[in-house]
Amino acid sequence: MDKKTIIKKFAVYGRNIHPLAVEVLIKNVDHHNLDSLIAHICKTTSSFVISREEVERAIKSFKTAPTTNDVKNVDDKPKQVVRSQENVSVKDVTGRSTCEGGIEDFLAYFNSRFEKLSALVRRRIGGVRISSLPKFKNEQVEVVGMVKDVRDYGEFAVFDLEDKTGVVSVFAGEKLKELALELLGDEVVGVIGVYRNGRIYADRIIFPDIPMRERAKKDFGIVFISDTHFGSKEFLEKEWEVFTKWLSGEVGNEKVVDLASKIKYVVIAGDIVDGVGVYPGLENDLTITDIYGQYQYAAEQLDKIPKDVKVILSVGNHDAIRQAEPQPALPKEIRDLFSNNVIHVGNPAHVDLDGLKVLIYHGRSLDDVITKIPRLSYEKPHEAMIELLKRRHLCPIYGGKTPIAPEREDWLVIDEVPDVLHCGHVHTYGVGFYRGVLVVNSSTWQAQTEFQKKMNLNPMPCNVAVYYNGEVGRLRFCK
Amino acid sequence: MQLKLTDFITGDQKKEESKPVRDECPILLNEIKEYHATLLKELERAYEIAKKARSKLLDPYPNVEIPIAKNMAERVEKLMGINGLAKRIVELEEEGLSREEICFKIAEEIVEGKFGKFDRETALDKAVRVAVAIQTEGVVAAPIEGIAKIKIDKNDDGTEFLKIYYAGPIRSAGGTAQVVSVLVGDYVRRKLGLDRYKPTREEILRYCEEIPLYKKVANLQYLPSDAEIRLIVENCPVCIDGEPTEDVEVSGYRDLPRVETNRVRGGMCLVIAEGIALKAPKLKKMVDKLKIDGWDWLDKLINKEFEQEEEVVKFTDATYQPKSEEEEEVESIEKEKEENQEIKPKDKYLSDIVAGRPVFSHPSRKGGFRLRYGRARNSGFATVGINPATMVIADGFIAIGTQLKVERPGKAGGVVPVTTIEGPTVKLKNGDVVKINDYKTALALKDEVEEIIDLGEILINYGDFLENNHPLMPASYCYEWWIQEVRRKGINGDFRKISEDEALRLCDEYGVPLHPDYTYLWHDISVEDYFYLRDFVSGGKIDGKMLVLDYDDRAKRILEDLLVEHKVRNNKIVIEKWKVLVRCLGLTFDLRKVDIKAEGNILDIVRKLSGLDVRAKAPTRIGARMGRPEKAKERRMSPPPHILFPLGLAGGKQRNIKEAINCTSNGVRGEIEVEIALRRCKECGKEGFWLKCKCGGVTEQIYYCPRCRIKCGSEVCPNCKGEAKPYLKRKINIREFYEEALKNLNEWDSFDVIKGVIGMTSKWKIPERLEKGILRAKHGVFVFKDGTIRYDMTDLPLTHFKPKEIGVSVERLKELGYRHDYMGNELKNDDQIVELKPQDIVISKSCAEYLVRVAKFIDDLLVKFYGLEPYYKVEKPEDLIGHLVIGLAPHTSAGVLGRIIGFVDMNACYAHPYFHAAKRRNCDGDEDSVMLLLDGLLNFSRYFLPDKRGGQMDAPLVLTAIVDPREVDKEVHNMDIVPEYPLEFYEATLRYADPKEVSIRRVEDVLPTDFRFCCLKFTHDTDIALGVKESAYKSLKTMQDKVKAQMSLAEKIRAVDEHDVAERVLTSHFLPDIIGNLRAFSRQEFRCVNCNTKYRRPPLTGKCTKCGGKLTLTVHNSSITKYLGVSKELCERYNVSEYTKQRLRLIELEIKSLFESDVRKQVTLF
Repeated sequence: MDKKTIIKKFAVYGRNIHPLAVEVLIKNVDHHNLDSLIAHICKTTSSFVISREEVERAIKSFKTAPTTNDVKNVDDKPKQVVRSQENVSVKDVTGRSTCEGGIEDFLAYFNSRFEKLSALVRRRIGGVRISSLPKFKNEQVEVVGMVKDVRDYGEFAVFDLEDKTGVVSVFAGEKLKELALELLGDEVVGVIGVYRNGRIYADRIIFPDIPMRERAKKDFGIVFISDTHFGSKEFLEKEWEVFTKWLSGEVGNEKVVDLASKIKYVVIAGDIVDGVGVYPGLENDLTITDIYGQYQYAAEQLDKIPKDVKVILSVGNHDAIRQAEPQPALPKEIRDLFSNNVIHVGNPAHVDLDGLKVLIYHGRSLDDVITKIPRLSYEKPHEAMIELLKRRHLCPIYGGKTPIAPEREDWLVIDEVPDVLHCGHVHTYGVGFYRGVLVVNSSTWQAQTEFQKKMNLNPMPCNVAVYYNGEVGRLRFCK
Repeated sequence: MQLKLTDFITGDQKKEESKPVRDECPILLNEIKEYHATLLKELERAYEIAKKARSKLLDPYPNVEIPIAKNMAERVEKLMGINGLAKRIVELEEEGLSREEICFKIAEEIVEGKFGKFDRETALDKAVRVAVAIQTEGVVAAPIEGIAKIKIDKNDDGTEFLKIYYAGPIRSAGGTAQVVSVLVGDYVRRKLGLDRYKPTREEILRYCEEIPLYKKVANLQYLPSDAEIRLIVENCPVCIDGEPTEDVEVSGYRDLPRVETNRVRGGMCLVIAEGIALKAPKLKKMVDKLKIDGWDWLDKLINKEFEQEEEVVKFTDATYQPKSEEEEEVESIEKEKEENQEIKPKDKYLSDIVAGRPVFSHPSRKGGFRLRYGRARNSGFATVGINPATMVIADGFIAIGTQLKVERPGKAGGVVPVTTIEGPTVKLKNGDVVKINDYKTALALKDEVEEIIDLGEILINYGDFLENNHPLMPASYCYEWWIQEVRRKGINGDFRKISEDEALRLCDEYGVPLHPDYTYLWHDISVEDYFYLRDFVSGGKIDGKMLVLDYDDRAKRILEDLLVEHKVRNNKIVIEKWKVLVRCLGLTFDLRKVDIKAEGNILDIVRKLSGLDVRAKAPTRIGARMGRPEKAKERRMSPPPHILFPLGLAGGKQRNIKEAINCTSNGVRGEIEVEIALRRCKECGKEGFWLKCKCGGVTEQIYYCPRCRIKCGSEVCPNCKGEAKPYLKRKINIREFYEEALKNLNEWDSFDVIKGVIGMTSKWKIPERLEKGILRAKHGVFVFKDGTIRYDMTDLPLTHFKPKEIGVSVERLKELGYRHDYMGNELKNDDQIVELKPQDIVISKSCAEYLVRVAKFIDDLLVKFYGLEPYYKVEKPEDLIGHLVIGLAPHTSAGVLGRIIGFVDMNACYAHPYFHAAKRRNCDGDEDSVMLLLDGLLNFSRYFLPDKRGGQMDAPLVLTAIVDPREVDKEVHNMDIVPEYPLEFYEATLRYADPKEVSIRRVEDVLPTDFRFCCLKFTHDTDIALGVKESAYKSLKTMQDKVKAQMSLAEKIRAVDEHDVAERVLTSHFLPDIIGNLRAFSRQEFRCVNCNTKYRRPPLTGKCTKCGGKLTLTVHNSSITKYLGVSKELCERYNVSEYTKQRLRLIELEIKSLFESDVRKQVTLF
């Protein structure tokens, strides 16, 4: 860890640190804890430029604190970056981007990913540093590391496991081979196995995963939709009309009208408009070529939703915001086009709706995940989303289709387990529960495009998931 | 070795009984015979020297490695390594079989076992490859590299079918040879009783997904529609498969059992799209001729019948009624009519515009290049001739050799200077309108130019229209046309430059059309404008010899449109040559209106009112933009090595031997660890890597099995039966080798840098002797991957030259065998026009200077290293004249022998079109290389060639000693070789005739006779060396400057819409570039600054895991933002569409978001 990175890490908290203090930090600290330590220092000090003495004091108090605390720290930290509005609180990258595009940013990013995720894995197994493995010849070892390079060697699947001290090859045979081949490449896992000939022969592979939990039950309804693509020639205007009428209680049988009256929130997982310049020749597929026009139109359409319903609006790769994830919420000039009941959030966004925790993620990485794991398919997007939960990360593949902005903190880690994980992007519908968490992919309002036809992608438009009292229902607004 | 001319030029001297044509000159025929003999003699001399040198065992192979091929048949045999092939091909040729027929015959004989017993797959493999080799004259690498493998697979019904796996280099075969390979595959699989390929539905859809995807990531000339792809795949009896060539994977139709990869297969895409889809008519012709059944579906492909099918599908749910036959017939006739009458402007050449390379004219627009037909002695074969004045006036963007992308007839052409066509017409800052026809005036006036009203003429030859199968476009009325009409009236004389009075006299006395110099562009103004100008001029005054008019914006603009030269003085318009103008306006010389009524189109009116036969001066305008800039530069790999010797990381970033010899490992100075060949001395048993041991003994190859860790005598490990490697990673002391080499050469250690390579990429990893590197460093020359030293130049054609143009004396020329000028007169003066011998070349001055250094290197090598006599003994460029070179084009594997006879100060290489065609190049802006003959013979080795797909390309695997035009790329056969085009030709252009309807003598017509080598003619004289030498695109350094210059030129040229240019630059260059880099940034790889190891994701330690070096980004902030500023400027200054502006704004937002920290901003605020 170099000085610059440490200084930048403090900058995240809006703090400056004295050069001498940095040196103390570098000397004294076990990298695994650096992020939590920095959080600790910032919490326990108040001066604008943190001095060497302050750091020394903080290190002492940090070390005496019980070790279980570091894990907690990871979960605690988000509280500082939460925006609140009435019953809704939001945690996302908006206004907190630290990325400046240097190599240090990338190093810090992957370190943050490793630190956050390894802390989660360490709740389940212990672990030794990879550099100290030679001490354990022919013994059973437990190691936590970031995966890289999975390959199929016939009898074995082999992958490399990396921590901050080194790299080791892991051989996974028999039943474990299949599981190992599903490793996506940049996730953090634990491995239990025997260390022999400089390799680990794995007995178990442990994902961070989420704990079992009760389904959350709330006596209000939430509607999940995504990928409206306003401005596209393929936007399904009539179906949308029916949808908003239903929300206003104007159409449908008694049962669904009753349900509509319970709706308190509509959550939209990005791609609200079709955008401009997303792919070459997009202009030919648009009814509205002006980006502001598109958002203007979007705002008009969202105005058809009753004003007492709050709309949580996230962004996707078609929206007028940076494509690299995490994405901040829409820029102000665009936000201002929308009515007050629309709450703009970034992508991903942890949103607390009256105590119900919803993690909204547009779902760009689903393309990569579905391509990589053969048993997954676009027809069942929720199964791919479960893989994300298992890995506690929204984009476990770096370098694929999903662009990453190297933020100092990895916002794509699922550090806080949500009640609902909501994605879109793939334009298909799929809902399921995983260990008590509702996973929902809420399809689209755009009909199949020429491009999708050629790519053999069959969208399931106008399917809406409605969550009420721990149950989820599906409403279809297409013919 | 004894090279005999009769071996090289076979055939028909005996059956020679051609009718004498007036252009043919038997003296020149004798010169050619002597010329060929001289070439062979000199080649043999060099070959003997090289053999002697090579026999000293100082190279990877003890003999010269470039065999001389006598003809196509031998090249094919040498390329394919099948004995007896050449003999059989020659036999079939003599039986009178066509190329295609020979392909099929030979393929058939191979599977029948006439050339040896092979198993089924091998036989099929050889048959298909040989067919491609024959079809490509044995020149290109496609038969070796373009076909990866051939396999027999099973259909779902259990029957067997043939699969051909194409690879990237199949591109070099060209569409025709590609389809021949498929057709031959079909032919031979029947012989072996294989069934046809029956694709599954998924497989067909996979093709439909994959081909457009390839178009997106690579380049396809033509993208077939889904219906076309489906038709081809469903019906093609052979399965067209391929190796994965691109990194991208298909997303829809993955993991199909019979398709081995999910990645994109470039070779397959090329064969289907540019082969079968594009060459369907040619394929059909072949199928018909050879009577192969099962290809009837080609008719559907050619007639685009599938489109109707698709229409039916589309309308099934609506009310769709098929048209009755009658209606369809009417429609198709109407369609045809339309096509005949009007040829629409084409803007395809503007589609992939590049920033900094200007547009010179929008499609078919007034003020753009005016089409003139003809072939200058330095044009034809995909070139465009332009007056040197135009080059200067276009702000120096067009230089000799610059590529122009043109609207028609083809896609592009190399620029050559032609002084005998018209230059541009410009408006100066003082309002004067001047025609500039010569280079000097252009230089003098270029800073005064305010607007370029007209770009002048562009010279394109008939052959290019024929080659591209483009209907003839109406010709500009020009001198060549006019004089033939004059001669027809029985008047003889030279009227190139005549006065107004003379022009009018000829019209009035003999009724000939108005002289082209006085023909204004009447068709470019409206009838209204015409009468406005008429009224206006009639109010003017004749003052002395001049016509003086009051200043009037509209009248001036009309005069400008007509291209009437005038001046502006004291707020008056002054016209010096006014008589024809006034006459054409229907005015008398004292400016009274003649009393005649006239109606109709503008030209009719002008004719009626003037009583003159006035023709259309610029009926066809050709749009153009700059393509690639011209080039003349030594070939350098990056970084450029002096020697092929592996240093590993010891050489540092520069791969410097001088750094490596100071490396210390285990306390030994100069010890480095590298992968290097493994050989053992037969005498002393010591291991080494060169052919000759220190003890003087000969070494033999030994192998190492990395699994069993043993050394063995063969490629197959005797222990594990696995593959043993001919090299081994081990320690060597480079210091010792270096010091010994210096001692051998008797050179002082006076070098700072001698660059080697990190590792050898060849199969054997035999390095060069260090002596070669030392001498290359001494002379400042660089080596290419195959051991040779190359110089790259843009190709330009030349058929005739004047001695004074190319810096050679008449005496020297005579020694070289040029004793007569092109008309057969004795050569005496240095401004006589001489016909170029087919293998002689005129190189750029910079090339000559570089080759002098190379020649000195070779001489040093001969004397100090091989212990032989020097060969070149050159001191200055002039001394190079008469020396032999090897010309070699990328993608090919056959060098062509050439001879230097002069040089010109320009960035291109003039050579006979035959020479270029022998290398399979035309002159549309391509470049290729030359090397000194002896350099190739001494230093080239197959043992250096990279052991990977494409590694054998761009290497002289064989040498064509004598170029026979019958065995070169057929494109050159369409070049016209006449001194003038007939009157019928010009008349035919007016009706947009098919070029095939016109008969003009071409190379093809003289192929059967010996006159194929000489007595070609040209229509336009010129000065081949006059013009801009270096394009402004190259001399301007930053992109900002280039774009600024491009836009200022766009504003200046009337035929260019600068707003459209700005929009296109943004949408086709800047925005995709920024977006591409932006996307790449967020998923980039990382690199170690020391050892260059790449990481998909940075190691968590933040350091290189191999060497502990610092990591760095591969995509930086700066590469994303480099075009942002200039893009914003373009958006502000020009009328760019709102959509594009918004795209840019979003990109800017994204860049800000990625590269500016929100938190840091807060901190600084605080």
